[in-house]
Amino acid sequence: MRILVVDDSKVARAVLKKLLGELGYTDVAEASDGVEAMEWLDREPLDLVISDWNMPNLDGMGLVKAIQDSEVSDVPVLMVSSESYFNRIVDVMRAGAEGYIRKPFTAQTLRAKIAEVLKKREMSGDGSATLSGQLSEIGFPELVQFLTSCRREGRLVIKVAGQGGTVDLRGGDICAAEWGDLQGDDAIFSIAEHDEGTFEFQPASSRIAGNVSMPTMPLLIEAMKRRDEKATV
Amino acid sequence: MRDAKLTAFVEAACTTFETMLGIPVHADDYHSGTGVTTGYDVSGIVGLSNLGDADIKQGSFVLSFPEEVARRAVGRILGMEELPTLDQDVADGIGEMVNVIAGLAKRGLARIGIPDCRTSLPNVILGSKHRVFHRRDAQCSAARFSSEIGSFLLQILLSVPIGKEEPSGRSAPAGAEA
Repeated sequence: MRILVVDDSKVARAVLKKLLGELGYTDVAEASDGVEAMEWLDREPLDLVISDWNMPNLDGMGLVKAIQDSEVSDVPVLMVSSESYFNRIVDVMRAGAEGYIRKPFTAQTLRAKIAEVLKKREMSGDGSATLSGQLSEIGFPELVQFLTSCRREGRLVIKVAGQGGTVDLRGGDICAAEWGDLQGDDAIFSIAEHDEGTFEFQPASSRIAGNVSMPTMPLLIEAMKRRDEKATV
Repeated sequence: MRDAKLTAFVEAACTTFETMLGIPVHADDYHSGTGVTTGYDVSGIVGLSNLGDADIKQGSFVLSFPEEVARRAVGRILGMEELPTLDQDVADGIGEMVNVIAGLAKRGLARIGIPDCRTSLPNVILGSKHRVFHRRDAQCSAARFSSEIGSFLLQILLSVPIGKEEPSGRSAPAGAEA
């Protein structure tokens, strides 16, 4: 697997290369900004781009957009930044990044995020297929974001240590959710707290009556905020 | 009572050192007042705005190191004992470190009711025993850290933007002298 690390900081690139080496990824190329990264992508086959956000010439957001508009739009991008604001994270995911990782991070976090990005790529093949996997491989917000971006319709079944719940999507948007006794928005907030467990998405045309009050993206942002606040208290 | 804003940066620094360098650091000496002269050799500075009451507080976050501590810190980030010389790599590493600390501190600030703090790109000053000057009216909170690689200083400087001072307020622009 060949990975391109993009960061204007030589030290930051060296840190990422060191962490990737610890995870067994030794075929790692480097670029100091988005322009240099696009030059790499034009001439070499790459499997993953890990890019910083703030860079001169062409920043991380610009790079994501440039890749989306190019012939190598199938190369996934994992964005790395110290930026904490959820709306910025959502912006870059909407632009086409497959994942986002906040600095500082450990090799274990990086491993989980790379696995998540690769899982998303694996899932994006057949729109009618049942999808299943572990929440440790792809977090709930990222999973819903992926289903939303593909405008999938059907039921997502989540199981966590004896507890279970469902999230119904219509036209790619969350229309209903249940988690134990919780329904609607509260069910989503509770499901998003879990990073262990299993998921299965069953495609079907959904006629379930809606019980969520917020649009999907603000609902996910609120769920991520609450999860983050709970984790850091 | 310790300044809650300073606490957000101190906690962020502890987490960053633990994660990036793999070493614990301890803030064991706190100061507050109108300024602390460091006389250290390497300083990373990040500008802050949208801080605090009525959206008028701005300021800066400064992390200052003696040369050998900065070389050790960046060396540890890169998996070495220390870098041999004070050069661009040290500046690059300290810039990366203050950038990460500031980003992490914003999450702590959000928890104390400052949800939209803005940070500038980092600047790094290299110079033997340089001094960092702030506006005269800047309120300074500082924490001195100890660690196995040596001591360093974290400062938060807050002031009212120029043009919004009290009528009697006097100010001088920030700057550095090596």
